[in-house]
Amino acid sequence: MNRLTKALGAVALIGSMGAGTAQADDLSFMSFTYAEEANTATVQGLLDGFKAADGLTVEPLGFAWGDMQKNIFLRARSNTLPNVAQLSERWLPTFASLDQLVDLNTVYGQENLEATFAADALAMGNINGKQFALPLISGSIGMVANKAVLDQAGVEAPTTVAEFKDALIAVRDNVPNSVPYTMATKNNGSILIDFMIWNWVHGGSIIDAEGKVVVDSPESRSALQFMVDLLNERLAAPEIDRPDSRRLLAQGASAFYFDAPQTRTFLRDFSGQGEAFDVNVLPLKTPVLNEGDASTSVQWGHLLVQFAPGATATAEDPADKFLSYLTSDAVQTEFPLKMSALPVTNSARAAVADDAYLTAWAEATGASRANEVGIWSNAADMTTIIGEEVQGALLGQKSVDDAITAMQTRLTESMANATPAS
Amino acid sequence: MAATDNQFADYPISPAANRGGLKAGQSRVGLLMLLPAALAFAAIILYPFLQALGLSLFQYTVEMMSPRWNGLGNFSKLLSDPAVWGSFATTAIYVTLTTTGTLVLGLGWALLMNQSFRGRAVLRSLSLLPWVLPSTVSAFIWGWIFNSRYGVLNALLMQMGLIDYPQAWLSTPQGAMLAVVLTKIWLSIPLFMAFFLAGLQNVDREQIDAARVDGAGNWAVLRDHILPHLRPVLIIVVVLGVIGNLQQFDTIYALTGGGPVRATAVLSVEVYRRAFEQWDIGIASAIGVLWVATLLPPAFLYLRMLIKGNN
Amino acid sequence: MFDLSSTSAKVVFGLALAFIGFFLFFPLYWLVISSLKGNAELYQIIPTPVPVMPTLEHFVAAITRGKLPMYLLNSLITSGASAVLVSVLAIYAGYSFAKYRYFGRQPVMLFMLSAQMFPFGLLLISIYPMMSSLNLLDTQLGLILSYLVFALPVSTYMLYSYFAQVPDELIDAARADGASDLRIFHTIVIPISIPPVVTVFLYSFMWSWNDLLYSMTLIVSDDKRTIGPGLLLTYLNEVNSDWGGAMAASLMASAPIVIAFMFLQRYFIQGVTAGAVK
Repeated sequence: MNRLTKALGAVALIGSMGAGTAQADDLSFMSFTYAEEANTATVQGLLDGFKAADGLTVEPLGFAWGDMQKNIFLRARSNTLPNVAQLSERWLPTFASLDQLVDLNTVYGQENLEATFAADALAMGNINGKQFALPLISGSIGMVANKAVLDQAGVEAPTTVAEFKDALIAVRDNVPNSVPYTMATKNNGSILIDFMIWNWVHGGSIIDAEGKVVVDSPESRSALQFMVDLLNERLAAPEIDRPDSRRLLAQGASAFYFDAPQTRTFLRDFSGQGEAFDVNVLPLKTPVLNEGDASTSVQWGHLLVQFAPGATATAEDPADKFLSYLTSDAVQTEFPLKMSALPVTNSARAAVADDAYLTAWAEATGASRANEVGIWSNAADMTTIIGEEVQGALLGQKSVDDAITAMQTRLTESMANATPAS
Repeated sequence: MAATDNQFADYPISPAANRGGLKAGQSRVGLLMLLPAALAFAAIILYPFLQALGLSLFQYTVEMMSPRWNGLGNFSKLLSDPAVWGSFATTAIYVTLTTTGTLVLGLGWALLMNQSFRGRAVLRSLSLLPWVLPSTVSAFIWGWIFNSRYGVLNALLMQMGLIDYPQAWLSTPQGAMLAVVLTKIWLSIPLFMAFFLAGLQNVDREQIDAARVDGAGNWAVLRDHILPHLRPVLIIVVVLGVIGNLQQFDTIYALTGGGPVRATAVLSVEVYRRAFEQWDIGIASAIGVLWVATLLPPAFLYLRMLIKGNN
Repeated sequence: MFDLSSTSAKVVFGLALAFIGFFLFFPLYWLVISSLKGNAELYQIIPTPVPVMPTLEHFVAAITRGKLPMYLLNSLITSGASAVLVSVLAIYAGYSFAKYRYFGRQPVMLFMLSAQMFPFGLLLISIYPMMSSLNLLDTQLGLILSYLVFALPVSTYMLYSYFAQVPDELIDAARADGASDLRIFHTIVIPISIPPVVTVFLYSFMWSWNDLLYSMTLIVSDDKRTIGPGLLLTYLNEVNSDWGGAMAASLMASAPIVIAFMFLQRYFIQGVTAGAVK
């Protein structure tokens, strides 16, 4: 047994070395922007600024965007939640049931928040009257084009769906080896966005405000058929996710895709040209079915949530001081611009009103609609369903009719367990 | 450590060597030796299994902070869910293809590596490489080869004039399955080769030489002398292969994530996705229990046969 | 073993060697080649068979990014420790099964071995809260213990089938000299069992080394991540698909274990030959 005990002892020793990382910082901040190579330094700058302003230190926990949701759940079930976490706006309803999530109205006061923040931005963090999150940056998901590629193909920015398709054909025929529109065809979360937008463009809807699934409609069918046709005519390509879209557009191998304004930061990085590439980044109105229709885009933003035992906190807690700092004018007039996104407070928005890119973006995307799937607690499940059915039709595994019918059935089943979110 | 085959040559091997074991009355020491492993087994494998068995009877979804009794509800839901049946079929296809593929190519490579030719030693060492690469690395390599825009597979096929446009292999059910199967075969060949090489050491060369004098050709030697000798190795290799392929998660998850749609969602991926992506712990447990229920009886019988045969 | 004097036999041999050899080695070649290409050359529809302008930029980027050694070290610690643990447990259990007769021996062994078919993902569902209640979540010790799942049963069986071939006379003779059972085991049996033990060590090491499932779930801090999820999350994720970087990092991540394995493979083959698998 001698060797065994020795070995076990050694193992225990090794294990304990890893176990006891002391938490010396005042609070922990879990962030996906911090994990993005192009942005790490910018976020670190925020932490340094906070330390200089309030004398408190922050332990940054960087996680890839795709890993965040899972990680927060794992941490919730193991009581290792960070003090503050950065979320995508569509994740919030999924986490609303976590009992450590702080209602920030109880910390800052509802009136106070409503006076400070832009209404559209604040609304993204509100669920049933509880302010579970503060916005960090905001904007919309709309269409982006590469101006250089459009020029190369000899086309103008399209306004109607028909013109859009003509433009795609021109790009396909004039730019060798290109994917004219890098429609999302791989990742369920990204497919959802593309399908939702085209569905709106065709006059359809996935779920109504009461939670009734309404995707089984002629409009949704023609939207999905439109997407299938793009793929069949090689105007879009399989195996494309957002990072591929950004990379292809940055390399001049693609003309269009849907993304948030923040995409410019990635394009600078992926093109290797830095800010010199900005002239090619062209925010566009999403094409409309008939001339004169209102253009559509999806509400988008990054949120900040606070976790605390018993879900209680005061404005003097380190985490809340940190939230205050991140939404102060000092940060809001600079950080969102670096992220190529809109600030979230009224005063900061006024201060950056002359930024050409953001103005162009806001002008192009107009009033954006809330993500109709992302506001439900079963958003993750529904995203999988929609992604699978759309993908099934795109890849020719099932007909458009079958996909839409199956989507209706499966979504209805999923909604049976859902709790209304906002 | 050379010539391990003969390490017991100094000791007379009694007819009881493999059957009798040590005298009774020593069994207390024996039990004591078993104890640590048995405890570890109970704590890390058996207990979690029983707990999952229990959880399969509860509803436990993302909206709930604690599980709620659901009886056989999960199972009745699963039985009417075509996606789950699809996963069983996908798993059967995946395990059959990978196990057969690895057996054939592993055996073939072992036979080649058993011939003597110049450079054999180097080639043998190098052929262990796929096995020691982290599985994420294997998935990267094959993902890159199969890449729809820049993959070398498309380039080769286009150069040969077999296709006009790059194909998105990982986006078609067959292509994705091909990719995950090839990846798994590729990284399992070395292990199987090692086992078969070991088995080939026991083949009686004199017998083969005698057969050759009688006019037996290469094919007859393989069929009548080599393969029969490899039977015991074959049996264990099939067990290890099936276990490994059934449990395979890493390369599939990294390569296709179970997609496109569910084309490569084998049970291991399905359980993971339900449990840790959709947070439906009850259903995930139920799928796992269904898996064990299907698999355990034949596995048990097969293993009993194996152990009996060994004794 | 085969007679290759005839032309047709030579042709068959050559073709088989070329075919399987290409399948085995081309992907490795492609890994090395791709890691040495700059992005301009890497992202071409028809790739160049050898880098026209070889560059180390991806290697430099992977090194300056700086997390690779940490992931690698974490993997070596957890896989190594768990392989040691599995080997030690399996040595005693395998010997016990092979050389002692007690009630329930065979059913227990059979059950243990069949348990290797339990889905790892299913066990993880319960291991997760278990580790959580023991405060072992997000620790290396927790991961090491969980890794027992992968290989303990099969390793025990491998060593059982090896020990079963050790002649009882060898042990009885020592026993007649008055040595205790444990002493006999430690001083006589184990020294002649090194190759099979190495085989089992490597077998279980490889299982943990390849793991993505457990590490991705039980470890939530970046500084404890192992190489599999580390590579996956760094190189191919929602904001990035950096194939050149992935290839370079893959090569560097594989180097230490490949080198170590080149030294150990002699034992490995011997161990397999000696009947760890039979």
